Amino acid sequence: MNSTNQIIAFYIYDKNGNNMFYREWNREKRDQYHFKNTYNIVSVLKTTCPMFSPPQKEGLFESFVTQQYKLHFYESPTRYSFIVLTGVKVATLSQQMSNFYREVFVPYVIRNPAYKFPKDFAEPLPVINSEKFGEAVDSSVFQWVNRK
Amino acid sequence: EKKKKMIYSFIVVSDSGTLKYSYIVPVETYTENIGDYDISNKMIRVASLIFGIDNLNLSVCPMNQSSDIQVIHCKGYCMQIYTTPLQVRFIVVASQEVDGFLEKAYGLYTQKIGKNPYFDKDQHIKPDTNPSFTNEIVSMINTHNESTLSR
Repeated sequence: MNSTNQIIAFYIYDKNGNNMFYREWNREKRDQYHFKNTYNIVSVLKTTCPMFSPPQKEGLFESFVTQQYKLHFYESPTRYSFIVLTGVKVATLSQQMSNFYREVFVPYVIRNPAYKFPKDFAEPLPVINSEKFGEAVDSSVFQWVNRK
Repeated sequence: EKKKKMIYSFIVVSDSGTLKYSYIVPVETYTENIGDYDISNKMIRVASLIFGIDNLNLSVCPMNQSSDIQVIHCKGYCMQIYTTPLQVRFIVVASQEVDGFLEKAYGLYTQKIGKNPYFDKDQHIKPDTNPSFTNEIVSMINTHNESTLSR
């Protein structure tokens, strides 16, 4: 597969930065702190980017590009963070991730009676183990990178 | 309607993450009314932010060969970053990606600052001490903004 158009990894975090879901496809290198640092880099950018925006523009962080990969970010209204790492040529995925949240995450996780939310709000949310959710992620992300 | 490519500000960050130079385009030169845009105090934060996230990027990068962040896309603007081999960073905040501007700015920096034997590496670049660089940068930005506005 052309590396500039490939899907590399997919992360979901709860509002406290705890990783709920992770999947990788073509990853070459994995740092031992990549869960924490992926969330950290995105939380720094999402709080700081609006500061430099011209006042009548929103300035919300959407993605960044390096020579090797592109990181796409979406935060739901309930502060779940969705982060996708792709090849550099993949176009922005903001709309796709917003649709994913509404059409896949909410029905398969939030509204799933088998997914147990902890009684204490401060506790981290459990990792998503649902096979159906994993399959839905696979089919969604491959559609995103292969769309024309 | 064609979207206008407008440069809002330009920043130079040293290899240690300190702010060396910043220029914010005056609001009155914009054709669109964007309100009060005074981010002069926040430029110092940009400098340390960019330095910090580049270090995090080394851990996040999923490929064997790592590279620096080149463009940050946000709703309404984007931030382009050019990192030199000596880790000096040139940053431009614009409405869209601007081709070739940062490379020209680097060339200008090398000529006017890098080759200046009286310039101290940790010195801040100011219009009164380095007018040849600062005037040229302002002129380049104004030329770019005027040429996109006239289209």
